[in-house]
Amino acid sequence: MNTKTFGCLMASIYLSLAMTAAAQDLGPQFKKVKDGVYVYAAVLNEANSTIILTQEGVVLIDAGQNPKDTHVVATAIKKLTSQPVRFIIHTEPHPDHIMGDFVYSPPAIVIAHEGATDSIKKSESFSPARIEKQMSASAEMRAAFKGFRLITPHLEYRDKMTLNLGERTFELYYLKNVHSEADTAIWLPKERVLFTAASVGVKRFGNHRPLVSIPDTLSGIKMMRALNPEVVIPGHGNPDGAKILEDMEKYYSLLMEGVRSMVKAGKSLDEIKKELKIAGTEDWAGKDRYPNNIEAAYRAVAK
Amino acid sequence: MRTRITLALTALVSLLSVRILAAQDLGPQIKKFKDGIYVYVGKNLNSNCGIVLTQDGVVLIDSGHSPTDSRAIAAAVKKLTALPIRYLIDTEPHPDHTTGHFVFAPPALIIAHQGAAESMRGRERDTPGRIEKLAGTSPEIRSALQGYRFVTPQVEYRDKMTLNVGERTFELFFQKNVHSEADTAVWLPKERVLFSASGIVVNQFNVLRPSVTIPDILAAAKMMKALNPEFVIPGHGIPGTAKIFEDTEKYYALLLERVGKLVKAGKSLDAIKKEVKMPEYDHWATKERFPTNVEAAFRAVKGN
Repeated sequence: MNTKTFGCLMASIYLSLAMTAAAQDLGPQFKKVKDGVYVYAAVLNEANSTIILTQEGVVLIDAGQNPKDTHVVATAIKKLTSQPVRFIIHTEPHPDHIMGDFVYSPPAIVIAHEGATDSIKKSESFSPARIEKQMSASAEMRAAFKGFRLITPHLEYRDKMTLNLGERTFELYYLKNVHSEADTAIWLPKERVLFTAASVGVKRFGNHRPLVSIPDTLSGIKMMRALNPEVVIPGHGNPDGAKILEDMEKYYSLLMEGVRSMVKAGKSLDEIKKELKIAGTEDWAGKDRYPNNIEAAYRAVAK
Repeated sequence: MRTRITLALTALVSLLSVRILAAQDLGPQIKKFKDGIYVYVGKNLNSNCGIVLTQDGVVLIDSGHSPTDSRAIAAAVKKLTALPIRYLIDTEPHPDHTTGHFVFAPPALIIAHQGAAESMRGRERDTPGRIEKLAGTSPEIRSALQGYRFVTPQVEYRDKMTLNVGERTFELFFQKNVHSEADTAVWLPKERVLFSASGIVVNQFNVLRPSVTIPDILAAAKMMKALNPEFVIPGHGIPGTAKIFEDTEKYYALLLERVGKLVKAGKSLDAIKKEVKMPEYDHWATKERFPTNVEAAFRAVKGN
């Protein structure tokens, strides 16, 4: 075992210990990944919502899968601190990340990349009919929607911004064409904690809409790896170390290579979809999305 | 018909008196430009401060020249609305725009361009005792400085940012190399009001530090003119219209032309500083800054 592997192993063990210690007070769905940093998801692969405590209030990264989750997180925050949520940073403008904003805002200030407001306003996901449908899922869900208002971001940055709050610094980086119209990675340089948005998943295929570009995703991953993060928190899926980024980089590289050689061999897109298997993804979730991953790779190769 | 005219006249008179009353209440330095948009105009070309009311609270553009101005601004805001000051946008990080941060933040969130906090920290390091010295200038300033803390921006954007508060939108644009390390123009597109920062001033010579370039100032003037603003509120000086940009363009074009001729004639920078004359601008204030203008023009003509 070389020093690097040993180091990674120790970091992993430390992380798991820290996470186990964390959860007790707040419930098993909360994972403490660093002092004052708690990641929540009710069910694996639902959108993460992360609480970050600072001396001057709370920063929330995404509002949770749905307003029910937002209320669970709000209750946890009250146990952790008497300070208010001052900022919500959106990693993307989709409903499973932002629907619960109204629970905190106002007074919380919502921050997103340029284009997020437009995306929200144009999206069918926020139509009254869709919201009614979501509310009617259960009596609890309807109760969680009480006081609902659709909140659009107050601050929209372009490319890069920095938020300084109390002792912490949050660097926001735009990730182009990785998932939505406005994806943001968030980097806490002192804590070496990275939020990757939905640019990467954990043993799960991402949903690659037509706007998604694998080369752009790979350059996003490269940029994030260069930050040398200790803790990586994806938009969906369990937090871990830089391994998340390495695994996804490997997956996308194999996918591009596979599609490229099949195109060279004269295969059609349909044939590639049927024939191409990527080693190591057999146990991944979200298999229904694999075809749109191939489409994205095919678009990139065809360019 | 006559009743209508009388009614209209009465309405007009009452509107006018409301405005006059409002102005008196708020003191002579506060001017109203649009509904809910006021400017605290700095005395003697001191820095201006924009006060913008929204349904969701107040946005300030800069915090006043000195702490006494900041206190006066805070008092005026209280007369205008019961809502809190939620945001403070810095057009630049220099002390005549930022010393008053502590009066408003927290709870106000301070927004500036990337580099502003570093610039403020640098100045704080390089001028120890700055606040004590400032307090010593008058009992009023000492009293206004009570509770002073050094507060840097919480949000630093790069190049462009949009702030949505209530019914209003504020577009923030970085202006490169026009005055400080982090100059921001603030544009309200619906209201067509532009806060143009300190790259362009009115009836005075600007300080053109070594980082400032005249081509960048001209590019900023062109960009801001293209927004077609109805009101332009400079960092310093009497607010006006886009004519401010035209005047600036004219001044720098003339300066570049005259400095260019002297450079062509083989004159040194020192010789040019002595020889170049701009009699058209004899009425401008802060003449001691003119040599920095000549230096910037010399750099531009030489292509560096």
